[in-house]
Amino acid sequence: MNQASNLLRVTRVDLSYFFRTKWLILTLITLNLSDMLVVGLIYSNMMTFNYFIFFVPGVVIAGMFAAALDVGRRVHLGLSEGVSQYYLSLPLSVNALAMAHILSAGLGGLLFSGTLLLVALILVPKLISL
Amino acid sequence: MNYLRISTLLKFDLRESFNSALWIGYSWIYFAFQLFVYGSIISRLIVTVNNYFYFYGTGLIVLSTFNIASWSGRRFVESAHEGRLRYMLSLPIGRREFFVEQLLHGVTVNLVRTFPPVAIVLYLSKLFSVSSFLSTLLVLTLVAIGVMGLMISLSVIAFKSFDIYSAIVAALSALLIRFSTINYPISSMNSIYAGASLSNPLTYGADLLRRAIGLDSSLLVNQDAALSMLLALSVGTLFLGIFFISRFVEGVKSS
Repeated sequence: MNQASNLLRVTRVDLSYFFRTKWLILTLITLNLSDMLVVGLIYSNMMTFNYFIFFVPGVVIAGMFAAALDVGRRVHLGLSEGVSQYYLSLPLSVNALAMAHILSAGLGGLLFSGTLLLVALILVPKLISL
Repeated sequence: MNYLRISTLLKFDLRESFNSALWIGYSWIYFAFQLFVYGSIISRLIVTVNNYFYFYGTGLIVLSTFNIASWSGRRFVESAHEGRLRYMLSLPIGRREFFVEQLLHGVTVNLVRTFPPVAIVLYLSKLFSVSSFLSTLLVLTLVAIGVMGLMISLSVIAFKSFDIYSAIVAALSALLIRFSTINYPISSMNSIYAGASLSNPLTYGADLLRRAIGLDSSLLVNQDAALSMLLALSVGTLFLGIFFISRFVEGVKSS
């Protein structure tokens, strides 16, 4: 029980760090929104089918992938700056620490792509029926 | 301008940059993967451009140049962040000479790394000639100088905050690439996007490269305008970079 609550605390810290990294959030938002609103629309003009509708869910998934993948950078940063050593001194097993990172990566990806999905649904309401 | 000092520092920097053959190999594999997998698939879907595969390939070369030039600018900022810049500034080399050395380093790395992609595209498109090859390298050098000068000039922001610099460069790069003719011709854009694209130097770099290679010019922007824009960008950012380096770089420590 104690391990579980500590795991959740580390998850919360890791997740809040992801959303506090403003340059990363700005980069991801710019990349994904410009992909949706520029690349998707222009390629649609060059093809015989509505590529935009096809492309938008792909961008949402790519956004989730990129946001979740950022956990690697955070773990590397923790290792290089000694934060991992601090984590290991907490009453938390190594497996629970790994699980906390995985959980925060998953939640971060989900929350970020959820926002993208909302934008996509506003732009293409048809996506609900697809 | 002391050329001996420039060449000594340049040799040192180049040795360091070409130390990792793995990264150079990776950039070539990435290019081949993008061209032969993504490029060949997307070119089957595009119906408005003849031989979109080569259009995409040339765009990919400009994109590689942009990324390498951005890396050179970022390398300069990171050297300030890691304290290496202070050591460089203590060397018996003038600030202008130092800037020229940084520029030459970026251009050399760019030419070496884009050489195989250029050769592949020219060979596959059967448009290889000595003049097309040389003019392609010239256009890429101009693009590299322009982008590098811009990135080094932006490094002034990094001396205040490295995170803000990273955010601005990442967002600017994403927008510059998407609002340009790197991946699609200007005729396929709506009027708003086309307007933004026409004020973007990468549009002129990409289209001038396509002309240099000898691709269909009906979809490209005017040649004279492209050349003037690219020259203006290179010369402008060159002087801007020299100005910033000589004014703001003393005693900096990127935070």
